Amino acid sequence: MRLLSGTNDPVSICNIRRVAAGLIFFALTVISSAAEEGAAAGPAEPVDLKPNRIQALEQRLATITDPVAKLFFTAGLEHTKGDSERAIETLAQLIVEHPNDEKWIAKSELLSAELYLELGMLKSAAATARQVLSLHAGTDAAKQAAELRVKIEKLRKETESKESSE
Amino acid sequence: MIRCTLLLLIFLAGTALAQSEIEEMSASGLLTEASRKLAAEQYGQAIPYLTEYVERMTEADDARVYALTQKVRLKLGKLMAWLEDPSAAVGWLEQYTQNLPCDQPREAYKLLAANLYSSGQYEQCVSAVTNALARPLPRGLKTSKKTIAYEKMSNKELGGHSYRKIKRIEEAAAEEKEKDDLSKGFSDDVPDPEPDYTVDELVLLNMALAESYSELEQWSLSIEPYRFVIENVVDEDRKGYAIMQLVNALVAQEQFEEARTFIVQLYRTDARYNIRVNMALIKTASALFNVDQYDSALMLYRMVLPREDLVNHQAARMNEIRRAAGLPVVKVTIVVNEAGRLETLFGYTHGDVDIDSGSQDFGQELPPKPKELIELEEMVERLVSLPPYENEVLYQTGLLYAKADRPWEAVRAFDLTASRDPGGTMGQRAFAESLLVLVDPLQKYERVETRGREFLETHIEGLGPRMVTHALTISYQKQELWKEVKQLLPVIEGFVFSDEPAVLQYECELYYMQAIADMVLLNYKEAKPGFERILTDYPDSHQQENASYWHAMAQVFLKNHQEALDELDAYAQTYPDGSWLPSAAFHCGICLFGLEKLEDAQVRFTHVIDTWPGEPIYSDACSLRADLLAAKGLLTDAQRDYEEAIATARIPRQATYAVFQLAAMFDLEGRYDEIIAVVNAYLDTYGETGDVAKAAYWIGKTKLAQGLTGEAVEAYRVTILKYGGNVLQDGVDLIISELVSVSKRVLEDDEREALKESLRASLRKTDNMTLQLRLRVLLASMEGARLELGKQLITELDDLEQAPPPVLAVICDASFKLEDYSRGEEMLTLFETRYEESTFMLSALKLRGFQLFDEELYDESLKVVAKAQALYGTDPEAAWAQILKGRAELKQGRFDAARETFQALITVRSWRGEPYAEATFGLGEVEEAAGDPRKAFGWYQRVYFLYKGYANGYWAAEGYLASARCLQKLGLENDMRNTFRAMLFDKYVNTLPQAEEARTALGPEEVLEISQMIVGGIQTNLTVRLDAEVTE
Repeated sequence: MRLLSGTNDPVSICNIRRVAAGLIFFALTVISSAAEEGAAAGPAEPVDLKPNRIQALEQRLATITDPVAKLFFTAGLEHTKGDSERAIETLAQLIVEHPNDEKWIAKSELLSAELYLELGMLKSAAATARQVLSLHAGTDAAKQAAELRVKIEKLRKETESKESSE
Repeated sequence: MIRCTLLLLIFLAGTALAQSEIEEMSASGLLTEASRKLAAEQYGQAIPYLTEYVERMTEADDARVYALTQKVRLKLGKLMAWLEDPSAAVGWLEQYTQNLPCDQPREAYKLLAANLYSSGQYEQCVSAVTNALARPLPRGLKTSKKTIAYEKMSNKELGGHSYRKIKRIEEAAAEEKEKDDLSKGFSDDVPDPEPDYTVDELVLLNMALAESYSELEQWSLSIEPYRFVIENVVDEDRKGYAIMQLVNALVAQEQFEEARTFIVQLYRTDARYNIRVNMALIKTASALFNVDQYDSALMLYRMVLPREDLVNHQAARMNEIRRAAGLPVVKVTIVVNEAGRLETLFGYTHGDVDIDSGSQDFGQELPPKPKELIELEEMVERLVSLPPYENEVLYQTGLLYAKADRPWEAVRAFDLTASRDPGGTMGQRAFAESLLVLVDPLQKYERVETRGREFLETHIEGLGPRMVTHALTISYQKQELWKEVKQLLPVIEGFVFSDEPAVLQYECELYYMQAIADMVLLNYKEAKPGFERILTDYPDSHQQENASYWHAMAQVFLKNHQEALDELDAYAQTYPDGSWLPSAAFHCGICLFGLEKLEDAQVRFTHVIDTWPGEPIYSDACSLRADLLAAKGLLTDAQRDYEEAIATARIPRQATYAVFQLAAMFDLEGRYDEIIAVVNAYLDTYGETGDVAKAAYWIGKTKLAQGLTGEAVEAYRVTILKYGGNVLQDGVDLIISELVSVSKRVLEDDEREALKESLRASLRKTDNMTLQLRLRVLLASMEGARLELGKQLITELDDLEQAPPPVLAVICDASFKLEDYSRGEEMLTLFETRYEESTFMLSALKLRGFQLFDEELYDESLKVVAKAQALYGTDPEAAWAQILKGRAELKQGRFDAARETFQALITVRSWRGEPYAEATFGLGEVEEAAGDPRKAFGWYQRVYFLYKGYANGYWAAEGYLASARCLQKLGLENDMRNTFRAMLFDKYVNTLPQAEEARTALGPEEVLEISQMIVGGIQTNLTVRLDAEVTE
């Protein structure tokens, strides 16, 4: 994993991982809710985070026909498998190619912000979260983006403080 | 427009047919006929009659005729407006508003404003709208209307009607008046004041006003009318368009926050489906992007619909209108015509129906197209005739994501653009931009390498390959792979020539980066022609100024001081506001310093100090002026400048230089406390970013001076181990020299052994090659095994990149000892380019000086000598330079110079020892070469008399042989043999190889005899005396 620029500080890394852990939860919650919304995704059920569920999720993914939903699900699975960078690339494809898809765009951009954070790219995470707020004002995604921005800002200050004290 | 054309044709046809008839008609007949045509909705045909009427009545002086003529003018204005002939409409309406009576000024100004806008007369339109919004009252012949109180009228006055009925009749009449004026006849009634404008009319007026201001770029004035339209217009399309225009105005006014509010409002509407709005979105988004308003710009770019989506949406809308109008639904098809342009096919066109066919039957079969449909069809046709914009939008979105710190989105947008247009300029530009984002911030260097190289394998023409090469260059620069940058040179040189400005600009940039890479790699010789290429092949390029400066700087680094000075002065003249001006002025000082024009150099540094106190170079100028002042003995002034340099240093290097120069100055005066103070303050400020090793050196040196040897040695040891792994930490090298000296001079044997053991243990532990090399040199120096180490390292080290200066010096010394001068140039270049300040450069100068001497390049050799002596003066280790100088002068036949050089050497106390022996021998050589063997003999004899203990007797042996040679030349055979005998009796030399020559000359028997005498303990007193005048 790439670290925060300019720091190898274990405290900062730990903080990022802590936030990232929250993201994993979020990502899978989104997948879960997306599955509920997806016509071919089958009935809603709690999503197991364990690796042995990945195969089941992949099978479910194979049944989704909406190309936009498919991209979103793929990104979620990639993230679950631990490949955050691939996940963010997949989300980027969705965001660029389907910017006006009302159903998936806000969620995708929010997840992208969180993945940037997980990859230690604070500036990108902050920029993406800010744009979620601005582009999707009034949505749940915007609300979560606002919360994410608070986290990012806190993390940024911690990192800066740590760096300046060194 | 179509309607206008159609009716104009009818009008012209009618004009031709009826002109003679019109001229014969009475004025009232004209109006009657016009009224009849209007009633029949033959508007175009009414125009000649009305025009004729106005022309005839212009000279009339009857009030009723005036009034009627004015009505006709207004009517004509309306007709022309309806016929979409705004210029003609404006003409009639202006006549109407400028004449009396003007009973309908509000209506007239409204129409005038609309038509002035349509005809592009924006300033006049603003004036017309302003007049309209002032709510003008009728002027001129109007009589005041008395309000009648019907309820108070008598029955007789009411004519038998109730007052309510009278009121109703009046209201019905008023309603009648409001009906479409176009179909109305003419009367001479004076109307009542006009009612106020409806909201729709106000929207129209405000829109015309806002748009006119917009066209006139009076953005601030356009804002209020746009706001009015947005707040009052019902039609969503028009509202969206007004928001869009308001956003443009706010952006132009740099009111970005407010613009954003309206963009959000716009984002939530379907305004994007309005073709005009859709087109305007791109322009506004671009404007916002250019002022870093990324969020707003992104919102707008996202609203831009692909052309196909937009056409499909409008096609559906057109079909709705068609259905409502009873027209058949058609499918819109976009095709490419023979000219390669896109065009739409609507099934049939309005032109076929209304104009070209002239078929009444067909016209009767299908109802006419509604105006809205015609306008939509025109818009769609305009849309498809535009160049494709989707890729441009996608590309711009990529740029936006890149700027807004969303790199992966940027990469995707660029890649998608590239995949849609792989051979086009846009696609290739996007491909290169994608690489740039992958470099920074994503650092996906391998991906960039693979993709970039793959692209360059098949593309050598146009802008794309240049851009990709640029991206690769940036990638290498980020990774500090300067050699890889240089490997791109053949690629660049292999591109197909193009004189396209954009291509030339990129090419120029690429060559500039090549030259910069040479500078970074310290290849100044290659960098110089690189910058020349920019200046010669790309005149007036964007890099002209930079290339001029860096070319001069290459000259500085190559020590072409005069050329550099000239170029830097020329730079300052050419670019009086140039960005490198302070640095150029500073380096002029450096050049003058190099040219030994010290006063001039000081003037330049003072100029920099006085002129640019806020520039980064200021601190350097202070330091160098301090050096000059210190050299003059003005130590207080020098101290002031050094302290100013330290206080204003922008980077550690600047403070480092000033601090240690100041420390050296204090050292000369024994001001140890001040050394400690200045070095500690430096460490407090810069910590690890400073030159800690050099600081440790100075602190240790001060402790030694204070007698704290143990502390100093330990501090040195720790510093070597901590920083010795970094090749650039030249403070470590100073410490190594100092530690070697201290261990020899000060340490007891057990202390020395303990130190060596500790160093050996550290050597075993470390994997760092640079530290290993430094420790090996240190240990070898302490053990007197430098030569052996040097020989070992000559074969061991192929790559000298990680070799610090002491290691290079050891290699130089060993090479010199082996008389292998082949690496002399390489070694000196390494020092000059990397470690110019290093004290270890002396060894490289020596190797190079003797290399040149060996190659009989005496002048060049003397230049190296001059440099060595300028840097090291009469340092004990620098005696070789004086020797070499004398030898070179001797080889050049400059006997007086050589004599003077050797004699000068034997007056320098620090060169006592072997250099004296060699110099004395050299004096003998000079006299011998000058043809005076007697004098020569005297010098040679002095060598073996006075210096036989030096160099293991080498020079003494040489002295014997040379003496014998001189005696032979003088014909003193016996003295010669005596000299050889003395040589064999001399225990300092008789075992040396040179003694063989004496043995050969004397023969085996005499040699045996001498050997036996020596064994027998017999001492000889063989001395040859000549009357040579030898003076020291």
